Amino acid sequence: MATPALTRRQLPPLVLPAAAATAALAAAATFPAAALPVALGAWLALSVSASP
Amino acid sequence: MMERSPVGELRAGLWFLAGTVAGGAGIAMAVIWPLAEIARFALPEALRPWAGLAVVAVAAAAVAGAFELPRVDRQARQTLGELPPALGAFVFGVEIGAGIRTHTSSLALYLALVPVALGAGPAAIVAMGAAFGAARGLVPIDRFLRIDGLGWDQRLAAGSWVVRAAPALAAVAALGWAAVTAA
Repeated sequence: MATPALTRRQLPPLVLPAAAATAALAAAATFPAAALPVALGAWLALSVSASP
Repeated sequence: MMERSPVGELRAGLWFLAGTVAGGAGIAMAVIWPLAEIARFALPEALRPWAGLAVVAVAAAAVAGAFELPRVDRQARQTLGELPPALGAFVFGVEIGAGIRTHTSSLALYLALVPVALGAGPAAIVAMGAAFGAARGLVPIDRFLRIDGLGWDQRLAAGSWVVRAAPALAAVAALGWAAVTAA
């Protein structure tokens, strides 16, 4: 992927998905009915991804 | 899966992400929604939030080790054959998003049954599935974007706050959903 070297730092794992999940939450806040389903789906995915 | 050139890698990554979103939304509509419709028919409205709470309680007890629940402990085929790169990335994404390739010991996944117990509608269910697929697809992309994939793996194995918090945050969201349903 065309990524500048400066952005490819040694960040903690899953920062991007966590940020995305947070952004999804913020977006879902605009549509309250979707907020909790979106949060559940995103955090479930991170739970699955992080499982050994 | 990824092509060599940066543009090709970006394209493949986007196709992969599109696939995980489609896979997550698709499996939610194919499995969760029909079950939720059955529950909506079978469960009185007043009981649905309590059924949702029961699902959360069972999942939490299983995560805590109180008893065993079946786990998905397999991986599907390792190759995509001779598919073109974009299609291969998309198909692989669909399989990841839909859980077909999932190799997981996370019992928190049982929380995906909460909308079934709540008799949730299709919009909420597809939102959950698409969000699942998006986050599922972003994890390998997150790893790919880093110079030191090995270090990423080691830190993940060591356990970041996300690793520890994800199941609990999913449970909080599920509880909130049940509370909103009850309101």
